[in-house]
Amino acid sequence: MSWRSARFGEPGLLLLIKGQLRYLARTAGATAASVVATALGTMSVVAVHLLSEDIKARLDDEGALKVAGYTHVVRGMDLAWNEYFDARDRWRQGDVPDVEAMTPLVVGQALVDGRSAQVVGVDLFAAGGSLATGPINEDPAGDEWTPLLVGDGVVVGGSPGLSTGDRIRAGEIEVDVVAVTENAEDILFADIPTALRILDRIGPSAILVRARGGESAIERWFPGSTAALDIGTTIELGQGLTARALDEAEPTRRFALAILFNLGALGVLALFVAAFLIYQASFSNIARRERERERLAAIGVDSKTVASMFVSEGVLIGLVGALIGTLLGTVLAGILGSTESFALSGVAVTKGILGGVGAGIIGAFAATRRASSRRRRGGPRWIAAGLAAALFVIAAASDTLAAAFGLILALCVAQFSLVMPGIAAAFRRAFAARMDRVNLLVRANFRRFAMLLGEIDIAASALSIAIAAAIGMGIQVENFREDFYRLLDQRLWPAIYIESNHPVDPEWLASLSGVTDVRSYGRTEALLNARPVAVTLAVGDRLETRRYGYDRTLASDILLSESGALAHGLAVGDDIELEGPRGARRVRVAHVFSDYGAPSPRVIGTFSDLAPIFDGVVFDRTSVLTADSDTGAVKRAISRRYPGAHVRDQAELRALAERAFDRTFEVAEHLTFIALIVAVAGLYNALSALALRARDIHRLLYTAGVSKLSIAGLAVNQNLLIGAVAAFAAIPLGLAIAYVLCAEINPRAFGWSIPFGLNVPAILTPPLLGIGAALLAGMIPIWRGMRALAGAPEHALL
Amino acid sequence: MSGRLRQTGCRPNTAVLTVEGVGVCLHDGDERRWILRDIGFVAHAGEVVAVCGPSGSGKSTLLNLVGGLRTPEEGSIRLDVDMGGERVALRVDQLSEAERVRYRRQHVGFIFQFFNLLPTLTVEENVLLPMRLNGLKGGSRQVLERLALLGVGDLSGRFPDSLSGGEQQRVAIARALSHAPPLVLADEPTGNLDAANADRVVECLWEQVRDTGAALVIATHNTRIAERADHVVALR
Repeated sequence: MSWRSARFGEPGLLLLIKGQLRYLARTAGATAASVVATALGTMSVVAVHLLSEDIKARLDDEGALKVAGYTHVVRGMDLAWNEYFDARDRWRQGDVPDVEAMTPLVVGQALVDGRSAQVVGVDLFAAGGSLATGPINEDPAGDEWTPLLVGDGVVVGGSPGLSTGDRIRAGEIEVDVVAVTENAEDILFADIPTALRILDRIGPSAILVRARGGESAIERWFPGSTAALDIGTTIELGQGLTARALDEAEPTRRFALAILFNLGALGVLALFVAAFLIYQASFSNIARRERERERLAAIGVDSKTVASMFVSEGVLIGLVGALIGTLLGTVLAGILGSTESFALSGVAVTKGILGGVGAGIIGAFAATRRASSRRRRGGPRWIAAGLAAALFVIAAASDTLAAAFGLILALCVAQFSLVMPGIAAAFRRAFAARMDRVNLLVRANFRRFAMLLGEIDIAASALSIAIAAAIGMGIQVENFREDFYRLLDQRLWPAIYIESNHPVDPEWLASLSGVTDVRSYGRTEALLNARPVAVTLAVGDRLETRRYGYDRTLASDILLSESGALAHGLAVGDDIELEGPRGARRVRVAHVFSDYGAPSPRVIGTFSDLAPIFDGVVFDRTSVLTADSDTGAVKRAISRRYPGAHVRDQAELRALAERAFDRTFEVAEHLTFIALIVAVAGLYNALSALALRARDIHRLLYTAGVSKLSIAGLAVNQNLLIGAVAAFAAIPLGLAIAYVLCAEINPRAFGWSIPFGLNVPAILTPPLLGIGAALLAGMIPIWRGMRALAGAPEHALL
Repeated sequence: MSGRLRQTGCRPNTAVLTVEGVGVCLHDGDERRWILRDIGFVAHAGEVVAVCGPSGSGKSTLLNLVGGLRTPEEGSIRLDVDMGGERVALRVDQLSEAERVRYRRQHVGFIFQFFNLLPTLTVEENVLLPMRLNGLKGGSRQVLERLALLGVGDLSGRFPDSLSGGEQQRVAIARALSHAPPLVLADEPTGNLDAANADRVVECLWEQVRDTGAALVIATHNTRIAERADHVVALR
């Protein structure tokens, strides 16, 4: 036998594996901590994925234009049938290879059985029966509508009192209700000729196009991630017809996709923290086996065999943790999401298990290498720092949404590759000094803390990044809330607001006792630069314009929302052309106003100026200004006369808006919280491993006459210091994240800017929570350490 | 040397350690397995007692008992010490947990086989630690002198991980004696050293113990150490 071939034989390896399994079972607490850490990391990945899928599914299921599978749309007020048929011919002849399917669409507003409703005309045969319009009555799928929409048969949604078989008036004609859907409100689906007759139209409203290839693999694995990428936004159909991506053509959809992308980005952050966590769990698991490694090496087990033993252990722990985490993530998504329960998603399960096991293997492999080397390896850290710098430079030069998130990612990578190791090195240098005035035990403790910080810098970085994300989002939400509440104060009069599909009688309202003014608002839609824009028609006096922060009367000018100004690159004083069904009108932008919660660009103009270019303007909102003392009585009188109308006063509307606001950010706050829990679990894991290594020192102190309470106090101080360093290092990063969110991401994603201000509770709460959590994370290892001190003298140093 | 110690507030030791009929057992259900039974010896100030015996005979356990890290199932352990000019008999086996902590801190110096210096304190700081734990201020000069006597005076500013095994053990001896304890317990202090270093360490230990007048109980396999001791406790 030559020395070169002397490897550990199979029986030896089996013995090692047996020993390894026994070790895992005997140190059940520490093994469980590694499994729990991996499970929590996987849970956050799976939960974020499922929530993103949920939001996306809701996005595709709602409304008329949000049609499953259709990716692009051609819109135009004067779109003609021959344009559609010519485009279809070109497509069928293979001249437009990027298109997989094409169908016309008619959309408009009309009175249906006395209520204002959206009328949608579809050609289900052209659409291939794949319109995902949701269930009708009990269960039938969308494609079962095809035989229903024959002749003047229509499907209605959200119209109380209507049932199958009713004959109702829609626009100017009579139609038959052939089905009722509960999936959409105030909507009527009809065959295209019927819809055209209801709306008294000639041409189609739009052409829907499905691009070949459909959803990309990136989108399947990271839902929402491609929303910010400008990939394939337009398809040329020839002869001047351009199909725009639905996201761009439909601002509401773009808004939802932006939320989805934000959530997706948060998911990447969760993945980032989770990967750190699983890595740290693996590393800690191996670090606690230092003596075992040395003994194996002493009896001649080669380093590759040792590494493979620990990597296989990483796989085992990763697999068990990932399975538990996948289940937990599914349950969590069910709790946080819109539906009551989630089915297990194949992609989410694969992603969770691959993530858990993959990060486990990488962590175990890297940790074996790092732990077996006495010298600290700085190489990968510098590479990461270099990549972060490059990413920062590239992201700063671009004005896309993805680039803005790239800035945050670069800052986070810098935090773990530069900032935290830098802080640990600075502490090591500072505490290596004599420090003559400091108590010896405290001095030893400070030095040990600096050493620990260097050893668990990954867990500390993960905690720091999670705290920073919480600070950043907290500041953004608080700034947004403050600005939003200011807007509510400005926008909401002390008035009664009526929303009704039935016309209300302004003269009757004005005759009520205590009513000082009655104002009706018309809503419609126009095209601005071939893209839809919501139009509100109102009285343009100063009382009205002050609600939008403008103090002059409107004449032949308009107010434009900030999202409209951003989308079209417009500013105050610019002239724009609004295109309505009955013609176009050139108007000047008098003022740009904030319009939170209304993602569609919006124009506010006067009846007298803009009404002539529209037909079918729906006057469904009315403000009734009253003297304060009479509000209750007026409200009751209106509700009696119009039982179907929503009648709300200022306080109710405000509460409604505030609730909507809180709901919007609920998921984000939950996810930040999850990231924090995950990070703390990582820290617990790291501290558990270190507590095992600290036992010798604790026993020495105990033997030398230091009480258990004092030793525990020293250990608590160390954890406190680690938590404090992670927390305070998080503050600058958190502020940077908050600034990018307010000043860059929000305008790019949602179309409005949030004034950046510092909010002390939002800055201090997450660090204090982080410090508290670090203390808690260290309590169990300390308690176990103290028990070991007293309970097992045969393990004492002597 | 004793004169120097007096300057730091310490008196020459006159303590007596008395161990009588000590027994320790393990409980396995209702059954008891005795590790030590009926052990007794006396160690006067300045004497060395060697505890010898094969591995597993209970040498370390006996040191744990004398050091107050464990209490015996039977027998008594007494240390007679001068406290504030008064002769006090400490029943180590009857002390509470808090009293045993104070007993170890004030009256016992420990030397371990694996040195067990605190890695985050320098050599000087490690030696100063027992004094500081007992609330004694100053003493740096004496510490440096003691380190010089032990041949490691030039290493005072270094951290333990940069020292050889022999150097670390000499620092550990300095630490065990720095607060002038009446009793020093050493568990295989040469067990981790080569012969030359072991001889040097033993020489230093003897010299320091005689100088300070402490009683030394040393657990060892080394027959040369046992031969030099004043008394030998043989365990089986």
